[in-house]
Amino acid sequence: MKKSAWMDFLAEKALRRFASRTSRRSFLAGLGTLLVGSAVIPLLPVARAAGRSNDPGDPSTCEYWRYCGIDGFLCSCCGGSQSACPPGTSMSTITWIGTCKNPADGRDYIISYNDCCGKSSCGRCFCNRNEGDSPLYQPGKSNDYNWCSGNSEANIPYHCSTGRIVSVVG
Amino acid sequence: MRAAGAIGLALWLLAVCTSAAGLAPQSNYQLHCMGCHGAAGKSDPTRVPTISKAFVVFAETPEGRDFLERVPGVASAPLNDEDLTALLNWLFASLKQGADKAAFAVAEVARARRHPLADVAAARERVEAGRWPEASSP
Amino acid sequence: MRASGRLFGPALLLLSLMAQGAEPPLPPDGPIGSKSLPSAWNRHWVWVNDFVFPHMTDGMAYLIDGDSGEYLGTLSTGASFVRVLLPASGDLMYSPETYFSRGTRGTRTDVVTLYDRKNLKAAGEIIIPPKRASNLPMMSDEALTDDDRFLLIYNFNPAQSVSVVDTRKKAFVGEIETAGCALIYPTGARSFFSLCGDGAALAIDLDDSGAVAKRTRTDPLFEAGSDPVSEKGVRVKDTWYFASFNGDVYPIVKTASGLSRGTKWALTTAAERKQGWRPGGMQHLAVHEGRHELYSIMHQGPLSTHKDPGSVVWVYDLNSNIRVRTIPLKSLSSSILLSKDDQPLLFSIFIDSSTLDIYDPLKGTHLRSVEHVGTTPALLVNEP
Repeated sequence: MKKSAWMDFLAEKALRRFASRTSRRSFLAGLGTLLVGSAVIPLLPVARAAGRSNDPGDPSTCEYWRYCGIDGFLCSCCGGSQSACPPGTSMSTITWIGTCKNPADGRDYIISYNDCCGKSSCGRCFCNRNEGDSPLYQPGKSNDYNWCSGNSEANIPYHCSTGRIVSVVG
Repeated sequence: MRAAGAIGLALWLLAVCTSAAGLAPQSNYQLHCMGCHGAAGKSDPTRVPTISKAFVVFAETPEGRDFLERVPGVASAPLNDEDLTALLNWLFASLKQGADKAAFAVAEVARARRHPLADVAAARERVEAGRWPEASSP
Repeated sequence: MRASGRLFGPALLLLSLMAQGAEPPLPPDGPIGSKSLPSAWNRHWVWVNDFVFPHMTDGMAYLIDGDSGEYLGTLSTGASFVRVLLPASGDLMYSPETYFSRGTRGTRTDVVTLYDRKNLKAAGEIIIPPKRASNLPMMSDEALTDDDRFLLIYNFNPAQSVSVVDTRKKAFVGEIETAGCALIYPTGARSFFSLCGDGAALAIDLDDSGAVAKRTRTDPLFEAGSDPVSEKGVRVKDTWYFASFNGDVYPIVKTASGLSRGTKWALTTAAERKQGWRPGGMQHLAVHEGRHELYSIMHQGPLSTHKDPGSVVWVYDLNSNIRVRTIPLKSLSSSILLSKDDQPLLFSIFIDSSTLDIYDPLKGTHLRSVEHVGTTPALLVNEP
């Protein structure tokens, strides 16, 4: 049952909170429990060329600014990029839209979280951040839908997720 | 006129604290419509109504406007009545040269959207009957 | 290794010769075959439903005995799996599933697979329109009506509708448009509602053929804009309980005249809310109908943590809406479920762990854990 670190971000985030309010002893107990049956490999930032200065951060890490509402495997880790699908997969034309603040210029950007479709899950760099995420009854604001299922071209398995800039919020 | 309207709108927003920030209609379209309907009102026509076609036809009749104001994607959009009305008028003007830029009125939108359509397909058939020859296409 | 083999080889041979004399040899294993489950199901059994996110075409469900911790069997449930549905009687259970003709590509076919409860084999299938929603699994993606006659399946492509399957005729019998409204919350033998984007509910009454008899859209029942409820509601008889991101409980009550909004109450005190306590997870609410109690996974975090796991379960008496117990958890949890009997078990699992924890929910004590259960276990289901 060895797993990749696909949900480490969520786990670590929860652990950090867990740690912040419990004694060290119970924190370790919690950590021990969490480690059982799951190989926890920390999501260390990959030493990679940092983005352009006005597009800061590493798109292959969950902390990258455009991923503030993303839920899935990062296409940047799967042969694609933050805005393009990996070879041989198709981009969903239907998706949900959110906003993220670019720390470099302080502007809010409209971000389109198009999924890439047509191969089984990439399985790398799982990232779940839920800023602006709404329940399934508000589909246009929900990162829980598999957006590969809403498209005749891409009505096929989910592979990974992108975070594409649409424009600056105006 | 415009500036006064904007100030009034801003005050109204502060007062009721509903939608995010009184954004430009284009931003609201991108945030609340584009995900399904595409950047230019056209997406996957087998699954999503092509509003670049349908909206223009519907916006030109009272019945069609009533449908547009009450179709759930519009009626339930997380926008206040003023922003929603501005979005509808902007969309109409963007899709059709010379469109009536005040085709949708705030009071009318406010009234209609409180009664979202429960059966969209049936309502659409009624509106389309005789009005839109492409009734069968989405 | 080799050296020790040389040294101890003769001793082992001697031991085995001695043993040979003492006992008769084991008999042969007999005809090849498989185990079956007993016909009477145990209320302490639980299905762990896994959409296997890293390999989503390969959904799985695992049956665990909560009393012994024994792993009893598996279902292999195709792509975009949500959960199994168990009618109150009969030998079958249901699972809406998606398949592609070439595994991960080709023609898409959606089916309801019928599984035999005793041997866990696929016993048949019902073809449904190839548009069932694919999403992070939710209990309300699919539901049986209260009399188990109709199986309802939420569609999203991105038009929203509900497919109706007649379990008696074993056939797809129709599709109900639910534009603007999502998911399925049954309220009787012939009725359910969906939640709409503006906080309203779309109430649907069915006739005996599974077609729409009546369709009503309510006024908004919760604050969809400022503090939406999670779609992970739980039901006690005529009342569905939904918890908002900030921790308010919105009951939606089915009455003779339709759906109405019950009295809102809060999971947290003002002080607790200030400390960031809020509900969160994948199946973060549970109920025990007999005890009239609501269970909620709680954690501390900011607004965008509505899907984060928690380390404690808070228990509320639904007569007084007062918290009566807290159950500290052995490990993080995103999904909880109570067995329905008088000596209930509390099942708990975290989508990112593969360990099912079992507690005594009355004493608040951990009883046992079952390890290596799946990959991304999202939903827990037990007997109706």
